[in-house]
Amino acid sequence: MKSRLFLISLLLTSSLSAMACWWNQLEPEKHWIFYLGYPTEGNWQLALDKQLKEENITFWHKYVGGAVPREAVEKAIYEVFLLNENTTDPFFALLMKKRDSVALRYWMSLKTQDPRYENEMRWRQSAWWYPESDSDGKQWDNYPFDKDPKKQKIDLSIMKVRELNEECMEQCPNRDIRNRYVLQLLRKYFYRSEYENCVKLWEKQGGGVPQSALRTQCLNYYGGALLRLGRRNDAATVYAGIGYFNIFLHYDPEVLREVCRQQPDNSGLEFMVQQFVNAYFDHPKPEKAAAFNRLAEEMVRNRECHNPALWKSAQAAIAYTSRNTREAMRLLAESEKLRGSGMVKENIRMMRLLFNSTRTDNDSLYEAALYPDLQWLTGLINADIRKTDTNNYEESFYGTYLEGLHGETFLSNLALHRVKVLRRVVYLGAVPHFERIGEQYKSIAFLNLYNEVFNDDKKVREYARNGQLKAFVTQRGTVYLHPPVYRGTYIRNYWNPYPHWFGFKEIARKIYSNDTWQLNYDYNSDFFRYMDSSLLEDVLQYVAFLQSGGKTPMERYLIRNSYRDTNYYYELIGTKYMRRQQFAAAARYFRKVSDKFLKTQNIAEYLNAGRNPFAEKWITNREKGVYALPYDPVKEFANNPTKLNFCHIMLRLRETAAKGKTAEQRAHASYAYAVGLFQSNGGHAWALNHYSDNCYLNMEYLTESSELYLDDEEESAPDWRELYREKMLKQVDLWANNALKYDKDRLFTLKCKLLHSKHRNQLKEKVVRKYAWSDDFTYTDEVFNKEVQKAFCDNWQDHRK
Amino acid sequence: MKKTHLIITAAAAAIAGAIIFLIVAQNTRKTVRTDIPNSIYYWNTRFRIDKNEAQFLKRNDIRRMYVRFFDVDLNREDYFHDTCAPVADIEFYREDLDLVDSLKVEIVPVVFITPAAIRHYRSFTDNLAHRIHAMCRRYSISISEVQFDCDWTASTRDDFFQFLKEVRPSLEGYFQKKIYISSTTRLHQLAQTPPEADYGVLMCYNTGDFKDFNTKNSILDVKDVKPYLKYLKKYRLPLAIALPTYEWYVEFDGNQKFVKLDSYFSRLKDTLEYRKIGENLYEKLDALAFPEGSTRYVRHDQVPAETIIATKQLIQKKYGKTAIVLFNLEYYQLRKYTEDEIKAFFD
Repeated sequence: MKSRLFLISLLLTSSLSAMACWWNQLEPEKHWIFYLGYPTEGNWQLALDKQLKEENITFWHKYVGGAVPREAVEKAIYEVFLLNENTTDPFFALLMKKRDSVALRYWMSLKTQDPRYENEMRWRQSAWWYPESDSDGKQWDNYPFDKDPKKQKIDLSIMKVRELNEECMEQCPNRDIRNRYVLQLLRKYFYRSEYENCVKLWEKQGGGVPQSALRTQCLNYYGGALLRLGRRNDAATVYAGIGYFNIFLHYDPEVLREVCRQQPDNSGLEFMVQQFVNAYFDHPKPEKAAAFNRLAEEMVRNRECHNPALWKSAQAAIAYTSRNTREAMRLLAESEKLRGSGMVKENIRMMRLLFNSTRTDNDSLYEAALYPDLQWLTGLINADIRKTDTNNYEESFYGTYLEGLHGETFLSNLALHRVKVLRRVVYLGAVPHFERIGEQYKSIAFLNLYNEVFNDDKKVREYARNGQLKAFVTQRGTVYLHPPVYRGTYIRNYWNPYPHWFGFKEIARKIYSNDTWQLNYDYNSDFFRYMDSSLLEDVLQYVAFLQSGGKTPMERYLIRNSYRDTNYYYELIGTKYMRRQQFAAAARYFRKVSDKFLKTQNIAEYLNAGRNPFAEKWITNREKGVYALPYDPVKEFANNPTKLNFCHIMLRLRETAAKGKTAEQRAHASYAYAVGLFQSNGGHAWALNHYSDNCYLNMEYLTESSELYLDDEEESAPDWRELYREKMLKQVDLWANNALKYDKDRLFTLKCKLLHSKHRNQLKEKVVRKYAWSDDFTYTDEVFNKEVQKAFCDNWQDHRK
Repeated sequence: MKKTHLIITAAAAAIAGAIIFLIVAQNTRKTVRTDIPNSIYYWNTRFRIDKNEAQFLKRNDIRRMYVRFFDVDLNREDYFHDTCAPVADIEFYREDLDLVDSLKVEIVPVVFITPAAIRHYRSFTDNLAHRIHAMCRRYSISISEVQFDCDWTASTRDDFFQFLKEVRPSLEGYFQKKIYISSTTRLHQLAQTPPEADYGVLMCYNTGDFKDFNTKNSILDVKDVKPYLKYLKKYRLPLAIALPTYEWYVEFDGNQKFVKLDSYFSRLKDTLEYRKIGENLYEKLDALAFPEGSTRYVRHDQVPAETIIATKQLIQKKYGKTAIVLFNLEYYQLRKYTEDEIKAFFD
């Protein structure tokens, strides 16, 4: 009884600890929970520059009535630095031919200097500038003479702006060109630090500039000038208006208070609050939280504030970050009742889902709280996927973009945020919750749901069914199939795993056409890896759950949104039975799997006659041992190299080992069984029991050695691979020992001994000692095999004598 | 006779070759940059090398000096133009640079980036490279490596790693040559994936919380290092080891709350003013100086040579022999160690 209890407790602890270990790999990445649709940082300026450039080219192209190609216009604007009467540039030549003095005067005022001067000026105004030498060329001086390079005066003599002035602008009859003068003048004043002039000019002329990238850029200079004149709140209003928020990046409730006092309804406040809450998330400082809460309470009471829900929900986020979940829930419930913008309301619902997912209530309450919001969120994500022009949402989600056949595809920040919230809800909320209450199958169901969110695009599936497959390479050099037919498929080139080293795009396509690609990891996402490493009992329970159809709305929803290919589940269960040597049960499941499915597995090409589990690889290059059996397991497997056939052969061998007619037959069957076990687990026929590199992470082999695993000390905790090997080799030894009972044939005895781990380890130790300097396990293994052959051959010669 | 001589010579050459090969093979994790003679950090805002320090460099055959050029922090003054800005520039003096040059000591610029700044690395990566280049040009410093020091954690890891990836081409663009990138590695960072640098310098100091009154020695306690050693074996980045030779004085109030940190505190020697109450703990006798009537404590944190050597041996036992870097070149702090002890640090 005691031993039974011990075994049960051991099994329980092992399964929990194993889960914990796997869990470390499933942690979601950094993510800020409070998100109102504003990018936290980004390339606002770059995007504006790009937009302005496009707008500029379009304007001038249209101005000359398309008489000059667009590319030529671009070249004239951005590559001609000095303009004079003798120009050969087609754009300017055309203006001269037309005698367009208005446009020419504008361009003459700008094209009088090398733009590198301007870049140099910008650089000199930057805090990063460091003088490389003195103005007279001396390298050494007493720098830093005033300890602050920014205070050093910039030598404006290098600027040769002669023509650009307000008079030119005012005399210009063309309104569009006049607006362009405004921008150039603002720029000129700004970089000369003439901020007063900058402000005056915009306030006088700005009203006439229509909404455009040009206007945004003008406002950008205007805001900058205001800021430098100390008019911070006016600058804040300008920046909020054009959507440039980097100015608000400071984690300071006092700055917030100042803006609120001046303009309680400033649209930049949403961004500022978002930044504050997220900065608090990173660096929680209670005194700042207290100051913020006071301000938030005031703002909620302030009638001029049109967005009180923003402040209340921010308080809730801060309470949650301070681990005060109950208070957070209360504040969130209050914020739902207050006025707020659409984005604030969405954010409140997202937070409610996040908070609820970490509740510790009993099952039914937990599910009821989670279900409506979860359904809503997955709906939003599915809509995002349909809107996004990408067929590989998951890849885009993880921040890399697809190169080559697609062009660049990025997800919007909001879409990314939604996926990240779901990821947190699943990984940090639901999965640990259901594990805690012992409903493992629901944890799996949530992972399945998350996995399926990325595979919801029906168009992609249709595309895949038509067989229009293409390969493409990401920037990282990873090669994907497009569209992704197999779940989380990753393929690599057999001959050249790093095509990107040699100009990846072209070469990858070329190699792909040579048919040398192979599926490397199949079903390689968190959910599938989790399934592969789960205990058989958990998988069976999960499949039963899928088949049950679900009792509650949440269960039905989870099932409806799961990956439900029965082929996959039957094949996995069969393999798990096979790993436990329950071949009859395994065969029952394998029979239900379709051939089509088996052919698309990544391991399909490893299941071949060349990787025969009954072949004694270590002596195949020499004289083969022949099994003294009424049937030849080697040939039988070679005829049909499938898992199902392997199970049949192993069952037959087991039967012969028990009921064979002669002792020799019984011994040979035991030996062949041991070889089959050895080869199908750690040998060249590994594909029978494993799917890829993660094959060693199976829980199936860890139950007995769990106490070793639980030991935290580095030295004594063995590698997972070692645990697995240890377990399987014990089994091999058991059958090899059975075979050894028949000791009339000396060669056969030698073969059994060689398979026996004790002897193999002795050899291995010899090899490892000899090649101890080598860290390369594969190399040592190769040497080991050679040594085995040598040892065996020596004995073989001995035997012959 | 000649033939035999030739054969013997050839055999000797083959054996020597094999030995060299074996030595190289044994050190597969090391790179050219960690295969160096002795090195030291210079962490100060003024680059002044006095006679004693120059002698120290010469005597110990120190050939590389990691010099902090500047820090990068959020720009508090002018964040419209630059979200982050360089602060605490080092001030170079010609004669001192000439002195270091004459001792054939290679200078490696080090830039400390605050965790807050690293989040905005995109805003300064190119400017930073430009600035290091400008500084090197101005002072005619020839460099082949730049080191980045950042206390990155799981939440800023991606930013720092991406920064390292992006700064290398920028630096190489400005310097028009290969620039090695190294990174400091804090003990807690050993548990994480290493950054894509050419090598790391493992900082075996600041192991304790100096603000905590109960900390025995905040600079280095072997006990604090031990838990991280298990990661060394599998750490993929080649490492050099940085050992602390500095000291500091931590002042606490009567409630044992942290007040301030000083690198120099001469009054401690005055037995009328301070009384030794522990191994490295002193109590101020004149309580009247404080209106609350409360007393003050000063903890003098410094690392005995034995601790430094024990730590080094402990790490080398796990990791293997590698380059040693001392922190920091300050003669008044280094003089507490004998010449033999310093040699033992480097051996």
